[in-house]
Amino acid sequence: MSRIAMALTRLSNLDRRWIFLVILLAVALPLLTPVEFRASPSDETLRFDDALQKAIDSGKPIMVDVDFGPQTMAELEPVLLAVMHRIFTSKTKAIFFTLSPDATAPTRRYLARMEKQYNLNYGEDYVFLGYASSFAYTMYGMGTSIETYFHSDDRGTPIRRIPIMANVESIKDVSAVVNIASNAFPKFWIQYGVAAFGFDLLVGCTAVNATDLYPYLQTGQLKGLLAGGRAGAEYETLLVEKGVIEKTGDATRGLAPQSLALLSLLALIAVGNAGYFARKRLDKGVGAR
Amino acid sequence: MKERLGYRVPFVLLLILGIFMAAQYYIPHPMVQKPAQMMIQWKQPLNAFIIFLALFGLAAMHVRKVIRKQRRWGYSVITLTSMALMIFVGMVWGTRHGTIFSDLFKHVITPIEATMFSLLAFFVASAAFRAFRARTVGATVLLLSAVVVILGLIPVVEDLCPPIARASDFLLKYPNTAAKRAIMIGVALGAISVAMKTILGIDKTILGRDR
Amino acid sequence: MSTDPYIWVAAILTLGVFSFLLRDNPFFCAVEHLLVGLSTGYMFCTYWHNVFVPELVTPLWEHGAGSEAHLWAVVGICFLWACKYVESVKDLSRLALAFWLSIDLGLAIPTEMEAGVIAQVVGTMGVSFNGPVEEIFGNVVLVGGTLAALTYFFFSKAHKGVVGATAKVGTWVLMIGFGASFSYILLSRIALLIGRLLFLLRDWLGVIH
Repeated sequence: MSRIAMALTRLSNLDRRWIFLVILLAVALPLLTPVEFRASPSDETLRFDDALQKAIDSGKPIMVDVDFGPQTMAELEPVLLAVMHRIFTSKTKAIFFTLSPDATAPTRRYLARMEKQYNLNYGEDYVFLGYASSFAYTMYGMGTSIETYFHSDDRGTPIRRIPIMANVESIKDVSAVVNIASNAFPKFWIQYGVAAFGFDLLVGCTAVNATDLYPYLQTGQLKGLLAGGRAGAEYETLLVEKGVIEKTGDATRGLAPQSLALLSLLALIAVGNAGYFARKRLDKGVGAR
Repeated sequence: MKERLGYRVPFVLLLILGIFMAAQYYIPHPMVQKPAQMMIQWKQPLNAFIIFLALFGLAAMHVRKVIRKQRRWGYSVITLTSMALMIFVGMVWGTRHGTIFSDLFKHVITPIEATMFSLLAFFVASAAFRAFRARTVGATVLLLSAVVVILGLIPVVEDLCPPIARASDFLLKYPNTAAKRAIMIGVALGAISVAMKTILGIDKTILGRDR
Repeated sequence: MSTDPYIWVAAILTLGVFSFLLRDNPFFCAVEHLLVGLSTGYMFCTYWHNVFVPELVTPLWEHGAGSEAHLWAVVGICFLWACKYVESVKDLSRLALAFWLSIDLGLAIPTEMEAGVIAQVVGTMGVSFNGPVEEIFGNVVLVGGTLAALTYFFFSKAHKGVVGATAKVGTWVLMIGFGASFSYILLSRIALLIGRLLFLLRDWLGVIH
């Protein structure tokens, strides 16, 4: 018995590079196999899509604020692309902008891809206003006037000359704001935007921030939430079912490695705890002697 | 005079503008809204200017390091060269999609930054292995909650054992919401009291004065 | 395997960062400093092209004597801020700091109160105790849990007796919240690693499609 306890104790002091190897293999191996999991849409994902559908049905443009950079691109890129497909297949006009400087270049790239795929006209079907700094105050100020914070779009055209912006004076003139963001941007949107001007806010965020946003979902300050890559996979499945996209993307592809990595982590935590209790037991035995 | 301009005037300005900015939230009259919106608008270019100062400070620090040949000065050369390169391509050819600027972002900045953050997967696993122990009742509750939510995130578990998925969903929707809400209310009240103490001049440290 | 030189550059840089897992090394440090330099340059150009020129320089150039004349105040505040670097007038920079803080703090008071306090209290008090059993139980947990966790943060009364017991329950509620957060943090970090491995295995090596 004590031999097992000693082995467990030794195991719980494993060099961290072995743990790194376990995680690496847990993620890499499922990617090398054709195994693919499906995530059935959760209540939150369905609620997000319903809110987006409501915004689309209103006929007004939708505002999309893209606030993530390379750090969280792997998690949020599939979410943003799914939302873009949803908006552009329904032929809804969309106004894009960013309040995070490192989101500017990726957003240009995604929009260029969408323009090609859906044959969109810049300025009529969509516009990219570019980057605005002082995010919290821009969120607050846009409730009164968008032009004050974006004198011109990303290409330097004054926004008064952009057709899509003709009837959009402030954030009150759009059907909803969709914020795809890492960090605390959604919280600031609620504090400086929704609280003051009461528009519909839909959020796609990293899993790290998701649990902090549940209270806002319960109060209705947030109309929909896609929490990280897992929700991205659920949304991809939903969009395939609805015929918006033909096949699922990277978020769904990530489900199998994600699952194995999480199971490996659970196993590591179990081993760590077993070693901890074994050590406690051994120490007790030494103390008793 | 120096005392007045250096300390008193900033505090008076903070008091007047702070109260004005708080009050304007409840007063929709254009006479109040116009100056308020104007001041909020000023923050944007001002923010850019402060960023420029910070970037200049960073560049100056690396230049000093290279000139004085301090330890690891070679790395500062890399920083300065890449900084100059990015500014050069961004200012000469612009920043639009398809420019060298956007290519450098996509193929150099993106992989480095994304990989740096992905390293966290390894470190968080290592930390969980070493520190995530059921030492006390509280730690055990934390551990159990984490295990249930993790299992709920795995599609196979969701299919094989629906009660776990339901339990995970329940934990997220109710106790998690309660916990985060209590923290949120506490943080909000704390932020409000700090803001009021600073605006009213009770806390002077923020403007660099300790009494 | 990819023949695109850009992909090769990205792959080498990715491996350079991953090399840190073995130990700190000169290659990693070089990549790290490269990132600092390029990011700084990126920030400068983004702020220049997207903020400084369109929101200050152009409006002042075109309407500086008319509708946008108020923006000259920003130029003045910028000068005050820059005074920080001149020893004899550095106290003047406090005026700029005071302006900056007054907007931040002044606006934080009503917005925090509305979004962080009032809406949350209303959300807690407004829960419905009708519907399925699971929902009713959940709402009881939500209201009770919020009150218990708030009690834990209430330090004006000693945590003894009923208050102490409630605070204890509060800590458990908080622990459940932290447990949920921890799981989602793991999920998030793994997603980032999957992104990099997908790049290496698919875009660079081409072993998966």
